[in-house]
Amino acid sequence: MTDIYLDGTLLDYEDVDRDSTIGDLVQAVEKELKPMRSFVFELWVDGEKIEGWRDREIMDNSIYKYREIRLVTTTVDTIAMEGLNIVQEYINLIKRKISGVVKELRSGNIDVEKDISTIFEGLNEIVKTMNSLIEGGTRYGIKIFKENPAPYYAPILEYMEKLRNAFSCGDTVLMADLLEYELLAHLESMERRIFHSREF
Amino acid sequence: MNILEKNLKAIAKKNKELSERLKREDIKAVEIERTKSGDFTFRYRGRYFHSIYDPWKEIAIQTEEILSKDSDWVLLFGMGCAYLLRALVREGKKKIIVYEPSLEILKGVLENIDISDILSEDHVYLFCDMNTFINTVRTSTEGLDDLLTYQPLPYRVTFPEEVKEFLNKIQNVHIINMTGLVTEISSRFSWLSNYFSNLPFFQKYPPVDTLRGRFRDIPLIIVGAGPSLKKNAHLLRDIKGKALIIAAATAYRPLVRYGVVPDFVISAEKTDLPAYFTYGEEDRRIRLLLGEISHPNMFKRDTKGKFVYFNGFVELSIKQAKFWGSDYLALAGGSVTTTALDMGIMLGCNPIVFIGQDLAFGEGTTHADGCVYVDQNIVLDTKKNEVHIRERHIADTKSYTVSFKLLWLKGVNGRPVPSKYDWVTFHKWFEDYMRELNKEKASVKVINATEGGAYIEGMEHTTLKEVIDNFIVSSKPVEEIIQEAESSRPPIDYDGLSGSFNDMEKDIKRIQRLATDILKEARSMKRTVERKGMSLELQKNLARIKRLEERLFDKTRYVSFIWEALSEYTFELKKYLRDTIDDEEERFKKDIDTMVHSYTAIRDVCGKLVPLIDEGKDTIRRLKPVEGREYRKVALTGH
Repeated sequence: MTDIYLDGTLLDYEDVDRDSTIGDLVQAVEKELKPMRSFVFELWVDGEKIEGWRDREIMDNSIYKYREIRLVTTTVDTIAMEGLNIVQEYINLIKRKISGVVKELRSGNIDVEKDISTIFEGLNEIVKTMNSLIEGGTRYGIKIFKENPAPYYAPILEYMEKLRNAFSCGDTVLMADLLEYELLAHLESMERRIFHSREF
Repeated sequence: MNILEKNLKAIAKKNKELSERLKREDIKAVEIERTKSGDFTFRYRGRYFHSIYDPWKEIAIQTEEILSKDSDWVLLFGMGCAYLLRALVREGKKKIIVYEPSLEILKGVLENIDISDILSEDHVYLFCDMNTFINTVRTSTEGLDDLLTYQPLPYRVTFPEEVKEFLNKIQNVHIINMTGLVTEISSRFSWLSNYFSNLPFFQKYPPVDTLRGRFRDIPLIIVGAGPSLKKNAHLLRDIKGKALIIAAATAYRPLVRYGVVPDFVISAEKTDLPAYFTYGEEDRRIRLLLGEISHPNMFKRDTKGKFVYFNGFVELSIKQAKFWGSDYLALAGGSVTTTALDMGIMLGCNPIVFIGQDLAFGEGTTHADGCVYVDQNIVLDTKKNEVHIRERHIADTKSYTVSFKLLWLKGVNGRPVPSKYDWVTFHKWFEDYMRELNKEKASVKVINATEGGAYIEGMEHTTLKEVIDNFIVSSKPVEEIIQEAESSRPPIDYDGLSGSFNDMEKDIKRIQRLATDILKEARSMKRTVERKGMSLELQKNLARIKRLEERLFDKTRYVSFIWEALSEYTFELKKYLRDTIDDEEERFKKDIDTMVHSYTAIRDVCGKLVPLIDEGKDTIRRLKPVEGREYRKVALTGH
């Protein structure tokens, strides 16, 4: 019989017909956890952490096949906090990168392509993570952001487009201006408005 | 007066041509925009050149970068709205030469921003033309100066080729200046000494301007000793007597190998060049064109004849050429082929054709076969931009390796060709000379028929065969013209020469006495500092020295060639002035030492010049014909 642990505690369960799947197990556990705004966060099978375990091909597997299954839970608040940390880290990284790139451009160094890519990737991650946080928050009824960040996305995308254009026509002054006076200012304003408390 | 007029007035004081060009209405000025900070910016070819928010903030970064590097001159590519220029002047960097590649930008800026105050600074220059810019860099900066080039990023992105040219040309002229300094130091006293030794020959041989205008519209071929000579030198065999041929001394032996004996061989070397001659019958068929500062032995060579020419860069010649019956002072760009060009114009020749004027490395060689450099091995290290030449002088048994910085010139084939500092110097001179010549004497055709090497802007480029087919058709009385000139030398003003030497001697002796007095004061000051430290007593010495110096410098105005003799010491002085010593007393002691050193040099050089001038006076006395006799016999033994 398979040993099933929930956050390290052995669970007592019944699987008489040996037809319960991992999906059934997770569903049953999360049903219990929902009032506490918790959910299953990690799945370990026979000592191995499973990545992408919410995929159908994992969830449809029968429990009886395994020696041991461990479920690790977390609260929505913890996840939200982690998500927020990630967003803040990205924003800080991008602000540092922007300052660096601006200094390079202003002092005549054109070799900033790599840093510009990092800024673009970072901005994409910010938008993606904030979207996930909003979705999660809506599902669990949590107000993660002080103000809805969605209206800030469009200007970010717009700046990225302007930067791409300035870069492609070699307008390094405009690039520096867009980064320093528009994007950076926008990110700082967004930070002030959407985060409840900040430790920047 | 509007802003543009105010700016143009300031520009006109130093660069009238630019000021006039900017008045033209067909120049479409760039549109100047206001920034959010209330300053100015503009867009050119789709790019902003200054921040649209706060241009001064970006300028602060650039200024800091420039100021962090020690430099005597800042050479800016691009003026933009002149923020950087203003910031640098404000920070005390006042020796700035600006090259603005776009008249449209310049006009837009000058119409909107008043920069007349900075443009009026003594050492701030503005150019929109690369050649005048480079010439100003050449003449305003010195070989010892540190030059800092700066090109703001928008200019680099917008004008990449022009920036490349800007940097390459600055590097080249800076090397020319450094080389000039070395030549000054190593040659000036020898030149003076040779001049005095050559006085008897100036009487014996006519000045070159006895030939003035006698070769009107006769073609002149000037032969350099470049590696490409092998491609076309043989063609000269058929044109002897149809054109005048002047060969550089280095090209003479290679030409003889091709069966060509030139009419003239030109030289101005301060050292003797025995290895450049054949010692055969060819030597007796040529005439030498010798600079007044050539080694005396060159005047003693067994040749068909000799002509003397006086150089415009020798102070003594400027003073005395007229007394020798010459009113032609040759222009020279460091090589005798440059002088030959100037001479060709004076002779009336047309067209003037160059061959063997490569000014660049050939395949594994620097000169034509048959030259004095043998067993050459040339390694071009393009990564380090260096060239290493291992070679043996024909009169030597050992080989030597010399290394130079590799420089690049545009080739006749359009591609860059490797060159070195001296050739680049000559090349620059040719292009400058041609620019003026084409303006002033457009009817004179100058053709570079060198079949390889560097392209020379302002000259036509073709093959020697084409030149011969088109211009060298009939026989010319070359020999007769020369003989006629030889027998018609202008009279010599012996009294003028004697008077000139007497005045010189008087002034030199006076300078020598003043230098000795200054030395006494300086030594007394040194003793005072050592005994009492920095005291008020020193002020009296300083006041006396100042008075003596004023008199000394006043005297040198009349014998300016003394500075030529002193070039080595002035170089040392310049080096000293660049040192920084913080401690006041130490600095003062060092000042005194330098003063002692400098005035000792002046006193000693005067001591060396006085006997030379004495000898010169004596020579003139001996040379002066006695009443009733045309010339007195003089033993030409040299000195």
